Amino acid sequence: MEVFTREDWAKYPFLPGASQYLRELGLGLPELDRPEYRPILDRAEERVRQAILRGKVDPEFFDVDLEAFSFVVALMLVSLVGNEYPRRRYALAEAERARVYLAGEGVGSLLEIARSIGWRIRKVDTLKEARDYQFALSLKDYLKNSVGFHDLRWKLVNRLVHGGWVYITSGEATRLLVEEIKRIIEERAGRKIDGKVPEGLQAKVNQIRALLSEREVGRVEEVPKGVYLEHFPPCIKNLYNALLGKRHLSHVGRFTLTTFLLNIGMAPEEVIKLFSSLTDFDERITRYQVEHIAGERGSRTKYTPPKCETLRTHGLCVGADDLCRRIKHPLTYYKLKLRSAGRSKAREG
Amino acid sequence: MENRAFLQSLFSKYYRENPNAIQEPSRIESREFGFLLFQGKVMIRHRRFETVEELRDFMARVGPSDAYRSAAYYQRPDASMDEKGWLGADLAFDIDADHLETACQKEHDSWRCLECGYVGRGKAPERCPNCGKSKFKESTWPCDVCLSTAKDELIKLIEMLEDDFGFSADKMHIYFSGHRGYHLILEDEEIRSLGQEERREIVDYVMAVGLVPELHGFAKESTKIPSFDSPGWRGRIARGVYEVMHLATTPNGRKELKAAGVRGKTLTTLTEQGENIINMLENGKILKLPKGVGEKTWKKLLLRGAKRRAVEVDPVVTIDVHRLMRLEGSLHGKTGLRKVEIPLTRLEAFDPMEEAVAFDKGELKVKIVVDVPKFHIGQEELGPYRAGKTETLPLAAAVLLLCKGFAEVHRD
Repeated sequence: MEVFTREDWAKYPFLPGASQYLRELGLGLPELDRPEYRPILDRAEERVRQAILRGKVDPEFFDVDLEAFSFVVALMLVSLVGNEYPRRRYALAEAERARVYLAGEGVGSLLEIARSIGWRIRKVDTLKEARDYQFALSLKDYLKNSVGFHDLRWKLVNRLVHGGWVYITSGEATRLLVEEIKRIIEERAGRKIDGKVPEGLQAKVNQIRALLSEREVGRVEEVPKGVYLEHFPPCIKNLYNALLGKRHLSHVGRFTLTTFLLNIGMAPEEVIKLFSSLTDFDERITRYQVEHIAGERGSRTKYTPPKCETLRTHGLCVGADDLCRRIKHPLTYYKLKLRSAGRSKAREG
Repeated sequence: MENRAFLQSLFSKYYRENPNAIQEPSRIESREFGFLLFQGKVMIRHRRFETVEELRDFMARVGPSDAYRSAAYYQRPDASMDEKGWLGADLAFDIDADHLETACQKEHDSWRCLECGYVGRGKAPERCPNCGKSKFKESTWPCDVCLSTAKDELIKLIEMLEDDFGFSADKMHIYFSGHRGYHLILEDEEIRSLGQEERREIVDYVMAVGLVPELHGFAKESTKIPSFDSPGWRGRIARGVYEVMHLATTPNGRKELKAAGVRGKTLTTLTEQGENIINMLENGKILKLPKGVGEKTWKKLLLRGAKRRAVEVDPVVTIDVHRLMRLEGSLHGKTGLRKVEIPLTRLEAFDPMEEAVAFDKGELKVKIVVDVPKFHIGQEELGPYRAGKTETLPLAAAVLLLCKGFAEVHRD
């Protein structure tokens, strides 16, 4: 299957074959301080810096081996910085870089790449099997990489599934590969580094940490207080109206509404008052439940509303509007609406 | 003797005399076990057994009302939840008549409002028509019709798992639950590591939740639509909507269309001109929908078709990766029937009220406290019985009524 070239390792340095290739070239931690490897350290730092600042690593490169090497060093760098945020950010940025190259690959190369990272995937006979798809992917690999997407076309129930295979197009294969790559890199960037860290690398670690704390200032997100009914997502609006209309709410429905209202800043006291409109209202129990959910009692856990997926399963999703299609959680809907309302107000003023 | 104490000694004796009734779950040492006791209704969880003999010994000694084991595998099944070390879980499905609509529910199921004591038949309503509260005690019955409806669902599920997901039948274990339904447990390396979100996708697939017919090639008028034998949901929607249209043109058609959410004039149009749509479906092409039937209605019909082909499972059971499932071979505390494995080849002929009977010898005198519908156990037709009467019944029937709380041990 040896169809990969040195240039491929530079494009896809996260592939198992790339690691193999780099091991054979033989470069260990101690050598990193040698002056001739300086460019590798620099490119590694650049990768991480671009990831944090721009969310994408620049895909262009000039030296094939340097490009592949610097990826491995960048992984160490991120691991040594030792924080979840840069790790996720870096994985995402490298996956975005890979997307650029994947988009230019043909069916054959995509197949090789997918197989080399362990996917069970095959080419589809477009004439006999399914006209509109190029690949059939195993159920497991499909699910693992698609559950994060919330456009309805990715839902398993909306796919052609047959004999344990999920049919996908080349474009979809690329999109799913990017997810897989992100996961692989995040995992690798979390591995502990054994041995003494060379000075040059430690210096880079400090620089990245400095960059992170610089950006930390002023990034605290404020959640505006106050309840804006017009910004409620459809599901919450429906529950809210049901409550006002004294219609029966299921347990999950009540929980969703309560957690939502508490999370957007309504005081527990007000939530209790609202629920008092229900005929089977028992103030003592309601107070206990609301305060429990607010984290003022019991386990002190503050609860958040269920995410869209869960609401859909429980039949509480009343049909998505345009904004719903872009979010996974009712609170995100509210926050986005508030933000855009705030923006247009700012424009007016 | 008090009912619970009597049942406990009976269960315990059964496990002592029939140790092999308890089936060994695969990789028993990695499973968590849990038990409910007759006395005090306490749940014992986080138990571990190295061998099936240890487990059988425990069952005989304790005589629990219900026994469970995890669908999951753990490094330390006896540790607390956070420290168990989850290694994976089988894919479990629960089909329960409680989740299904059957016509006979009104005849044998009842509920009592815990607030005002109002009693009604069938499924409990959302709120009590008398006092408006919504807390009920429900009483259900493992009736033949309900159980066979559940079996039909199970057969649909098996077909879906085989045809769509490609799982081979020898990896599926099928059980009668011991009460009102069936369990299917799939033991397959491929799905063991799937998390909650992935399992939710599988459940939604099976139940047709979030299904968009347009994404399956049922887009607009004047287009070719998937044929009846298309794989996956494509064919299922095609066959489903065909079925819906056939029903729509029968004398009872309005009921089916109402269930699809069709109202008013459109309803009449469809019952009268349904034939046209049926013809188009047979030709695999929707040329033109009858006047007054818009795209919205068409979508409703398609979704209704899908619903007819979907499987009603309890979603929570499949999604929860730490779920405890009833132990195979153990007695069900609400019936005294066993949870038994059914070989796939024998599913069609399987009669739970005959093959899951544990107490097949002897008789017992009981006092009936709640009206009992007609039922059968083994070869015997029994009931109905009126509350207040004293009856001498085959032991299995007496135990069923005691477990259900429909009767009490007779004191001379």
